[in-house]
Amino acid sequence: MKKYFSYLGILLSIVVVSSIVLQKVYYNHFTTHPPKNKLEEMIRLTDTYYDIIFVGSSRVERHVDCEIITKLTGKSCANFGYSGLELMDIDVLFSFFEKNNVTYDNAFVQVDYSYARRKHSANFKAAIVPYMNWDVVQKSLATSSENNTHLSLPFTGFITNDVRYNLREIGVNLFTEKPKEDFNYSVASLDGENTRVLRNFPSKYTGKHHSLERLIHSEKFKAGNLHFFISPYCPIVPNRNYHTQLANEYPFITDYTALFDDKIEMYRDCGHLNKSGAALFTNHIVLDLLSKQ
Amino acid sequence: MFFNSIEYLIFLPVCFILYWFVVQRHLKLQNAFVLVISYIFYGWWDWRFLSLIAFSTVVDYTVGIYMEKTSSSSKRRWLLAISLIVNLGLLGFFKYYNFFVDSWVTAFSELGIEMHSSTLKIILPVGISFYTFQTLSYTIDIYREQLKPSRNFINFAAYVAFFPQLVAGPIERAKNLLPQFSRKRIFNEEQAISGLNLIVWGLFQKIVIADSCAIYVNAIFDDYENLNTTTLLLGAFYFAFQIYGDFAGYSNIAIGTARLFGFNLMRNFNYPYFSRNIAEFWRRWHISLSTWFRDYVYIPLGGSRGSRFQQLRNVAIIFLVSGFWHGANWTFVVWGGLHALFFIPVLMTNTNRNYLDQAAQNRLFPSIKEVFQIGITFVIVLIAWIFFRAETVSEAFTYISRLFTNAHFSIEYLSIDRYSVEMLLIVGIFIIIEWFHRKYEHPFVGRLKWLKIAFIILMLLTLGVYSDHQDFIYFQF
Repeated sequence: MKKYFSYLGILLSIVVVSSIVLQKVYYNHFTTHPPKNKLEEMIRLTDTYYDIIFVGSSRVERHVDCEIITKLTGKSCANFGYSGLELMDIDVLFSFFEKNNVTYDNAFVQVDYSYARRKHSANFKAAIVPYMNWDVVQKSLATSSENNTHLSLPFTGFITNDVRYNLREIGVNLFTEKPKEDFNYSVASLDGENTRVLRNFPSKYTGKHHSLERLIHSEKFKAGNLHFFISPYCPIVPNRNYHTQLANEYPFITDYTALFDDKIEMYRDCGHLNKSGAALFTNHIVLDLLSKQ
Repeated sequence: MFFNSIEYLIFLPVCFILYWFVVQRHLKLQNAFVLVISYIFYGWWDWRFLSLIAFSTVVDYTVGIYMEKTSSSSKRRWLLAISLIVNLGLLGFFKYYNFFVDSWVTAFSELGIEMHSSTLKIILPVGISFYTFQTLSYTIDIYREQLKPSRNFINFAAYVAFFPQLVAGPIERAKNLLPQFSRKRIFNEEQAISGLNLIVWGLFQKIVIADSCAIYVNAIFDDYENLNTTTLLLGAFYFAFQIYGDFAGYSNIAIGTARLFGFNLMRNFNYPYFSRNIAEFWRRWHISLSTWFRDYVYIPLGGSRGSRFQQLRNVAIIFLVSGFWHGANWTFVVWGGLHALFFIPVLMTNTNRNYLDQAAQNRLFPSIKEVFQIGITFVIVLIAWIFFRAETVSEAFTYISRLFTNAHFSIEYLSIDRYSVEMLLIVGIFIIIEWFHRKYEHPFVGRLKWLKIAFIILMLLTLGVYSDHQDFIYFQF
């Protein structure tokens, strides 16, 4: 069996050596090429200051118009909302901000029914692949409800996200530096008027979430610079009182769930406001949330 | 459990070590171990269907023994009938029941008679078409007195459930595989190394070729009504390589795995897209199924003997049945029918036994005539593949008609954020590799062997599809 095991050993060595080399090549490439979307750019943002930042899912990305806020308050504002972002993602994103010297006076974090989930969103997990060796990323992945142990092996993070990080993408990046998505830090509001329910809420509150706990034990929260809010949600979604349970558990969360119950025309679908709704909501939070500073 | 899964990555080495280091001393123990791990392998997918395999095994084992005991030809016929009814009955129920009921209801509604469909929620057990044919070959061979029945139930059960080829073949003949369970396996370095090479090559065919093509194929077939001629042609072209990479890849991994355990399985693919006519194609594509149909359907029907009409009838039957074997959908029947149509001119001109060698035998490049022949054969196979891939027959016809009616030849950007032609580069590399190694079962030969292996591993790592995991297509059959 000696010959066989030698042969197998050489095969495995080729796989291991190739993986280690590719890990380095891909890491260098994907951390230095221009970002392809808002999420990548947020993760790689460095040495920036904003008076106010909003962080959350599409309910920040689509609802909070930073141009209005700047116009009304004169303060610089960034909308760090990204579709599908989970609480665990937001927690890691703040660590990236800290590491990359992205500073702010006040941060407004949106939480919602996705609080029940204890994992990273697929998009965020893919976006942090090049940073897999960072302590904060590894710690966060370890607390996920998903099994992420394979991601610590060299190159595994890249190949399991091959749509974003394959050889083809390197080729494309070398030819063009244009981002795939148009994005900004203001608002990406939606058109239309509807109350279509896209997702049901969990039936009941599911206990403490370690990411939220970590955030509320931070210096920023203790200094009163970190605020939490729940975005409006139309009344027909099943189990909407999940938000009430969440707000009861954490009384510092400002709950806007029912804010537009009498203005149903402001919804583009049950979970998202349309352009008019976003403008109205932004005006509302300017008056309301900023008054709490 | 799938060959391209993390579970299998653990399962295979653990079984290999136990097989060669713990149970290697006793043949009975080795066979019992093969049986246990085969049942674990299959049960990983759905343990409930293990009872079907066990039932089939008991029936055919018993039928085989009784068939040998009796000299009465009528009793032997009855015993064969029992085996056929049980095996084909299970296959018919699980695979074709809903199809027949739905077709029946549709046919009556066309006549204006409304009937109520009472189709069941039947899950198709993975690999049922494969192991059913394998056990049938056993009882038929005993009936024909070409094989002695197995007197060892464990050996026979291990033969039926042998995990490398249980779910998608190659469909082994009892004459080839069963005697291997009676011989003590001694580790053979060369056999095991060739097995490793086949596994690496099979993974490349599956993960780099088939699964990459699948992304384009799905995007094109899902939106075929809005795409132009070039894109639709590419859709069919990519599907030809998807199904080839998928099935040949599976077969190579299966054969390679079997070699690691000291077994030799028959070759299932022999570079079919370099065939110079359709008869040669069928000698090179899914060889274990084609030869099964040849031995157990075509020859009993009379084969190429008898009148021209009988010959044509036999060809039509074998291809239609082969099409129907693939799945309970009229698209597969039409696919089989088309191949029958393509085969008939070859049969009429007595050229079906031509080209028993390789294209460009002893030459590096093909002649112009060979290029033309290979091209024509590939194009007709491609047309038939459109029916194989389409959801319905009418969808296939629309797809083909749009090839001609929507004659625009620009390169389109697909919904998957890629240009339609991008995959051509990888498929081109694959064709070149296959062409220059068509005399061998895999490309890892010669002085540059390690360089080729390293290149294939690099392609596996950088071009393989791991996020959008695709099941093996032939599992559904």
